[in-house]
Amino acid sequence: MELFENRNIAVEGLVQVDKPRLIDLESSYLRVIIISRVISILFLIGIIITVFMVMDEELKGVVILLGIPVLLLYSVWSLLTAYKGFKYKGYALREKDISYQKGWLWRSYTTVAINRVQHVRVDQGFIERQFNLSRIKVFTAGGTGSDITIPGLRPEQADRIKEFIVQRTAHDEEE
Amino acid sequence: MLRQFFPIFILIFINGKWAKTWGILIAFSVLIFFGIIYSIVAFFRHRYFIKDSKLIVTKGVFKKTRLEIPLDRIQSVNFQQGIIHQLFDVVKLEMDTAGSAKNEMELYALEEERAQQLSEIILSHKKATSKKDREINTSTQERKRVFTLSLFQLFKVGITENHIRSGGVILFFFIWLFDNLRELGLDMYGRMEEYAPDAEQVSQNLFIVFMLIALIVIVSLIISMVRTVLKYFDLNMFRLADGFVVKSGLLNKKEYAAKDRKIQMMEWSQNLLQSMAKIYELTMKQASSVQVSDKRALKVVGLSKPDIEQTAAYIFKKLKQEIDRLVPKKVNGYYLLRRILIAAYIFAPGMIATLYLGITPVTIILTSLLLFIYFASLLKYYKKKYAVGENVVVVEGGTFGRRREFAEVYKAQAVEITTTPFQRRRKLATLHLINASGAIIIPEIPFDEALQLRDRILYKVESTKKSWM
Repeated sequence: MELFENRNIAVEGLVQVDKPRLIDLESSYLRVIIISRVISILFLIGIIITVFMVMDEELKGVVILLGIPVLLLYSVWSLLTAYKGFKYKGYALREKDISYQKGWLWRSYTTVAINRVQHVRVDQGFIERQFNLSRIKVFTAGGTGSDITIPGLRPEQADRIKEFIVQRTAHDEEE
Repeated sequence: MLRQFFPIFILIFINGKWAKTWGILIAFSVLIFFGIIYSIVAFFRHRYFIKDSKLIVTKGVFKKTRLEIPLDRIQSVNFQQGIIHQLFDVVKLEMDTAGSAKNEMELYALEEERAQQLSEIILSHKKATSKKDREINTSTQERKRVFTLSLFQLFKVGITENHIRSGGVILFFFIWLFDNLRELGLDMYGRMEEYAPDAEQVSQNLFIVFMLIALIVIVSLIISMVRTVLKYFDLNMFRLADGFVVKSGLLNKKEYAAKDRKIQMMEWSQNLLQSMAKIYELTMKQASSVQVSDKRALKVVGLSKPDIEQTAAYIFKKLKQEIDRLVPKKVNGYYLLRRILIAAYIFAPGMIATLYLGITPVTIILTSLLLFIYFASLLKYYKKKYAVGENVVVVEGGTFGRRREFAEVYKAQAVEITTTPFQRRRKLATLHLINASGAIIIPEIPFDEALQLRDRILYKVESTKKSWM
């Protein structure tokens, strides 16, 4: 047991070459999040109105009584988490791995080793295009739990990261 | 192929019994006639052959399809033999190619010998192409039987099955039956109300309830027994040079194979009954891009402790010694506290409400339920243990039973650290080691330790040259 603990320290000395440095996303991405959340809120309002129109007279009160609080709670929650959560979103790129952190209350920090990457994709949604932003998706063999998506990047930056990862994985395969 | 005929037989059967007018009868006959013709044509159109180290399958009556699969892309070959297959002595071949679920291919109804030949060609081709494996190739393709489930053991497995699950099925069935009876006009509730409960009938009703419970228990037992026999009859595990083959089944015989390097996780477990009978369940999870379903996982039941040890030695080889040396640690007490608090918050309103009304049966039920949850949480906490060695991760758990998961560190695909606000206040975190067949989760460990473990795992992953499958 003692022998094992010793080796353990040596290993850590090797790996902690550089602590991952978290880089913030582009600040304009916050607007993208807010807009998409507002759209989903509008969608919810639409649903509530449709239900209200369709319902019988007696049940209209129930729709209002239930719909308004749900709508308020949802709006406040989704905008609050969008705003608060943005501060904690960030990524870190090291020589051998890439990480992404997110979450205001339920926070997660996922790291994918570059030699486990299956493929990389750069995407751009409709709203993102208006703000000239891209997102990069890193896929591994571990299913959805281990794939990471880093949004809010300048397109050229996203392409550079993609190039870097692709080169690294090709490099690994040659060896 | 035979599957296609099957619905036709059913049609014939239903036809003779239910068809009331000639029109329907004729329509059915025409349908059946074309169905048979279609099946026969489809049968002759369905061909497969091997050419230029590719497996080529052509099929289709109206729309022709031609599938080409390079042999070295085929990851594994499994056999299945249903009851009709057994009658005609043929097997169904399932081939799994790397990629999504759509890339799976099935060849229905091959003669058994043919199927064996085909699978050997595919597997040996795979070996011949990769240079490293060539040496092994010449050594053996022989099967060594490592485990056989005897009839007595099979009985034991059946008895120790999870009966609650079978019981649930029956309960569901009864509720369904009850609902349907009511729809038919048999108003059971109404009938029940007709019987005014006088003293004599209360005792009678108790007897009926007791009988009903006994009946459910017995039927559950029988159901799990039958299910076990159907699934695990004649269970055999074989050891190949570099993998395992598991074969079992009474009516539907299945044969699944897994290569050592493809196995990402090994898990053994025991429920309460199984731990009393001292038998274990073993699951070997293989890599897959889709979430691991039962298909990709090799499951063996009724093993003894030495059997488990032996299998672990096969899979982990030298690392077995490391596993034996590892001393699992307990997780932080917050693991227990969290459960207790959540249960308390959920139960509090109910408890307070009932206390106002004085002690009623509901209070007693709630209290005992709460105590049961606390007891279960306590057990869960004491059994939750983890150890991260240099090459292997081990996580133990279980409430009334026991479970142990093993994974090799370097096979990890990603590492994730998650925290909740409550965990952050206590400087705790949850570590997820994600590999190609799922994840190993270590809950409630000190945040600093989680960081250290993450770095160690990443170091192992990033510095290795070994392929994860």
